[in-house]
Amino acid sequence: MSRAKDYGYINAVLRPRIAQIKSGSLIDSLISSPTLVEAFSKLKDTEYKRIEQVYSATGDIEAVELEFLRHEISEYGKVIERIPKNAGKLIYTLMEKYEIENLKNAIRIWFADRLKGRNMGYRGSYIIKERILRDIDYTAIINAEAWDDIIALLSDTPYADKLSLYDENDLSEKGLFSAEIDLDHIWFDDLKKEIDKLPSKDRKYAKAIYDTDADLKNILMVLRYAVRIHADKDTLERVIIPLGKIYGEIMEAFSYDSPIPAVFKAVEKAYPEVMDWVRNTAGEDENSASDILSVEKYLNDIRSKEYGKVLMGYPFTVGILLAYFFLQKSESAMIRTVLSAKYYHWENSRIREAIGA
Amino acid sequence: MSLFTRRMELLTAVVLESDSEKVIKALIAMGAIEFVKVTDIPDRLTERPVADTEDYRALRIRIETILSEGGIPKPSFKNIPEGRIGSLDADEIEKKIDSIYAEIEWAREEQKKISKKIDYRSDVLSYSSSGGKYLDIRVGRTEKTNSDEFKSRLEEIGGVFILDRDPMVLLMLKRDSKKTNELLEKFGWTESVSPDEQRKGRADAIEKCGAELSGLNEELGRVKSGEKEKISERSEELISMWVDVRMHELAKNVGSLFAYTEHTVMFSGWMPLDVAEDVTSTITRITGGKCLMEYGKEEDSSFSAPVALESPGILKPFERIVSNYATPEYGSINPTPFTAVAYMAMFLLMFADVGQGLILFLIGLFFSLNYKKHPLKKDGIISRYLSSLLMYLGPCSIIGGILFGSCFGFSIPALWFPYDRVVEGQVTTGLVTTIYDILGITIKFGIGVIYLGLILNWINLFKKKRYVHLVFDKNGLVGGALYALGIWFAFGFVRSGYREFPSSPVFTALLSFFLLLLFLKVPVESAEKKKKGQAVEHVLMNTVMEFLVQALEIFSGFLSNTLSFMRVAGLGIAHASLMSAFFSMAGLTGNKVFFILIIVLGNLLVVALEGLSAGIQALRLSYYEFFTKYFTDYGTPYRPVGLESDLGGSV
Repeated sequence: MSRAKDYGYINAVLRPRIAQIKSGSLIDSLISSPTLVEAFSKLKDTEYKRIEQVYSATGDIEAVELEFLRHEISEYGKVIERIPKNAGKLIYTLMEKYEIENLKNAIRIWFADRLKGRNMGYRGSYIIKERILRDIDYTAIINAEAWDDIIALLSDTPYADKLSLYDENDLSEKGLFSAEIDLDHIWFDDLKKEIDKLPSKDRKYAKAIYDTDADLKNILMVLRYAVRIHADKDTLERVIIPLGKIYGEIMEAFSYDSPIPAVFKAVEKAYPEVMDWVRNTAGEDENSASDILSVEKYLNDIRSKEYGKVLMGYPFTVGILLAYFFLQKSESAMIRTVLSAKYYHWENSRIREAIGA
Repeated sequence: MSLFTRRMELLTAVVLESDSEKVIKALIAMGAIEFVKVTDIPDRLTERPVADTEDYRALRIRIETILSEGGIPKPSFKNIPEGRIGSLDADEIEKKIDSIYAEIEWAREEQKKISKKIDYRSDVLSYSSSGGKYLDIRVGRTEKTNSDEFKSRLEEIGGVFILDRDPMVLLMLKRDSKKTNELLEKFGWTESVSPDEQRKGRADAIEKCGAELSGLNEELGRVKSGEKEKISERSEELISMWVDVRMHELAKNVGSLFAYTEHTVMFSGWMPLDVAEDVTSTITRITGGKCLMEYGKEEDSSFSAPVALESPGILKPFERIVSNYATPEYGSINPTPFTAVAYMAMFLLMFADVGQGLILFLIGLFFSLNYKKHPLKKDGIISRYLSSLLMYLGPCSIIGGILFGSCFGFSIPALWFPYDRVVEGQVTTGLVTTIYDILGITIKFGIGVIYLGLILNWINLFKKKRYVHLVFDKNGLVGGALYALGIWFAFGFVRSGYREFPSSPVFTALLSFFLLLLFLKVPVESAEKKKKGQAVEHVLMNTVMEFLVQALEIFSGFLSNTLSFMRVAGLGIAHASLMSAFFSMAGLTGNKVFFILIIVLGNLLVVALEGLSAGIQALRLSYYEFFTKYFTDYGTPYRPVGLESDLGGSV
C-alpha cells in the first residue's frame, strides 16, 4: 500500500506522457513539416513550447539546443518533489550527469581558447550558467587564466580531487580525454552507490537498467578502443565503466596478455544475441564508422526493450521514472535531430533513417 | 425564437456533373446542409471513393501556421458571398506559401546574427558589472592608422571598438588576450600610460557596448515585428487562400457521400426549413434551372433528422449546458430557456450576495474583454465559456443578495427575508424564520423543477404521438401522478410534526388506480406490439417484473431527486455560515486593519470556493434531476458542412 502511495501519483502523471511519447505523433508531424519554421510551430502546444518561443525570439538553433537541455533538467526537478526520498537521491544522481556534461563543455571551451588558441569563447553562451546541483561558476571556468584557477573554482565539489591529478602541461600534450573519463567515472561511482541504497524492488529495476546499459556501453568501448584502435591495457581500464554484470569479467580479462577473446567469451555468456554483431563488426575495416553506428542502434533497441519490460512490470517502483526519463531523453534527441535536419534541408526519408523511424 | 427544435427538410437534388462543383461550393459557403450518404444506389448510380484530401489539409495547415505567426485569427465565416468563392490553383498557392516561409526563415537568420551579437555584448556588460576581471580593455594608438586590415582582424577576434578617435579603445575578452597581443604587436600598438585616458577609454567602451546592445535589441524587435507586419499586410490574401483551400478540401470530403452517373450528380442532405428557399434558389441559379430537387420530412425518411437548437444569443452559454448532456430529440421542446432559468435560480439560492456577485460579474467581464482583445489566446482556468457564464451568474448573485440582504457578508435590508439572520436563528417573525423553512423553500423549488422536466417530456411525447409512453412511462402521466400523491403524503407527514402519516380514502383510491395503470403497462405495450405484428413473449412475468421495478424506480427515484434539492439550501446555509465565521474571526482580532484584512480574504475565499461549488451543484441538479425527466430519447446534432466544420480536422 505504501508503494502505491509513494508512486501512485507520479505514475498517474507520467503514464499519459509516456503513451504520448511512444505514439511518436509529434515526431511524425515534425518530419512532415515542409520547413523549419513550420516544424517549430508544431511544438507550440506541447511540452516544448518554451523551445519554440526561444527560436521565434532569437532564430538561433544553438540557443534552442541549450533550451532543450534546460527542459530535460527541469523534468527531473518536477519529478523529485513527488517521490520518496531514496528514489529522489537517485534522481539527483541522474541530474549530476548533466552537471558533469555542462562542466566538461565549459572546460572544453577554456581548453580551446587558452591552450589551443582557438576562438571558442562565443560557445560560452551555450553553457548552462545557472545551478544544476551545485554552485559552480561556469563563467569563471570559461574565462579562467589557468588550470589551477579552475581547480580552485571546483574546490567545493567532488570534481576538484580528480581534476587536480592533471596539470596544464598534461592537458596541453594529451588533451582532455582522461580528465573527462575521470569525471564520468565520478558519476558512475555515485550512481552505483545510490542504486545499492535503494529498497530491493527498486534496486532490482535500477540494476537491470543500468547494468545492461553499462554492459552494452562497455562492449562498445571494447570494440572501439581494443579492437579498432588497439589501445593499450591502461587506456582500456580507464575507459571501461565500473558497472554492469560483465564488468568484473572484463576487468579480469584485462589481466591476460590477450584480453579480447576473454571479453568476447563474457559477452557471449551474458548477451548471446549481441555476440553475432560483435563478431561481425570485429572483423571489419577499422575505419568503418557505420558499423559502430549500427551496433549503437542495436544497443539502443536492446535498451528500449529493457525499458519496455519495466513499463509492463510492477508499476510502483523507481522503474517508471527511469523509463520516463529514458523515453523523454530519446524524444528530445529525436526532435533535435529532426530540427537540425530541417535546418539543413534534409529529405524526409533521410531524416527517418537518421532517427531510426 | 421557436420553443421547439428547428424544423428540418431532407433535400435530394440531381444536378449536371458540370454544375456540381459550383453547386457544392455554394452550398458549403452557405453552411446550411448536413450531407447524408445516398445509400439507395440503383445500378446506374456509382459512388466515388473517399477522396484523399491530405494535400489540401496540409496546405491549409501551412496557411494556418502563417496566420498564427502573424497573430491573425483564423477566419470565421457564417456566410460567404458567392463572388468570393474562387477556383483553386494549388501550385500557385504553394509557391506563395513557400515564399512567405522563405521570408520568415530569412528573418530568423537575421535574428540569429543579431542574437549572437547581443549575447556577446550582454556577457561583456555582465563582466563589467562584476569588476571587469574577464575584460581586456586597451587604450592606445597604432603606427598603422586607418587600417582596414586592423579593423577586420579585430572583428575576427570579437569585441567593441572605438577606432575613430585618439587614443583608440579596444574592449575584448581576456580569454582572447593571446590573439589580441599578437595582433597589437603586429600593428605596432602603443598602450596609453595616462590614467585619465585609461579611465575615460574604459568608461566610453562600456558605454558604447551598452548603446550597441540597446541598438541590437531594438533591431531584433524590428526584425520580429517586421515579420509580423509583412504577414499582416498579406492577411487578406492569406485568408482568401485559406478559404479557397478549405472550400476544396470540404468539397472533396463531401463528394464521397454523393452518387454519380456519367453526366449527373445526386446528393442529399438535411437543412433547416427556414433556409430551404435560399438553398433552392442558389442551386437553381447556379445550374440555370437544370436540376431536380425533392424535399422530404423527417417522418418520411429512413434517416432521422439532425437537431438544430434555435436559442437567442443571450442564452448561448446555457445551450452549451444542454448540448454537453445530450442532444434533444428532433421535434422536441428546446430545453435551453428552461435550463437557463432553473440554473440561474439555483445559483441565486446558493450564492446570494450583492458584493460577491459583483466580483463574479467583473471577473467575467474582464476575461471576456481580454479574450476579445486577444483572439488567439488559449483558454486559461477562466475559459471563454466560463467568463461569459459568470456575466450571467454575477447578476443572479446580486439579485439574490438583494432578496436575502447580504453584501460582502454584511447584512443589508432584505427584500424577501434575511438569510444569514435566519441561519443564525435571530428571526422570529415572518414566513421564513428557521432553517427548516429554507429547506422547505428549496424542496418546493425542486418539485417545481422536476415537474417542469416532466411536463416538457409529456408535451414532447404528445407531439410524437407516443401515447403509451406518455401515459405509462415512469416519467409519464402515471409517474407524475404517483409523484404528486407522494408529495401530498410527505407534506401531510411533515405537517403532523413527523408523527403520523396522513390517510384519506381518496388518496388510497387514486394510489390504487395509478398503481393498477402501472401494472397494465406491459399488457398494453404487448397489445400494441401484437397489432404491429411483432412477437410478444412472457407477458405475465414481464408484467410483474416491470411493475415491481417501475414502482421501485418511481418511488425511490422521485424521492431522491426531490431530496437532492436540499443541497441548494445546504449550500446557501454554508455560504451564510462561512461569512458569519469570518466575521467572528475578524471581530476577535480587535484591530481594524486585521478586521478588514480577514473580511477581504474571507470574501475572496468564499467567492472562489462557494462560487465554484454553487456552479457545480447547479449543474449537477440540472443534469440529474431536470434532464433525466426531460430526456427520454436523444437526437443527433445538426452539423452542416461549412468552412468552420470539423471535417478534415484543424490546426
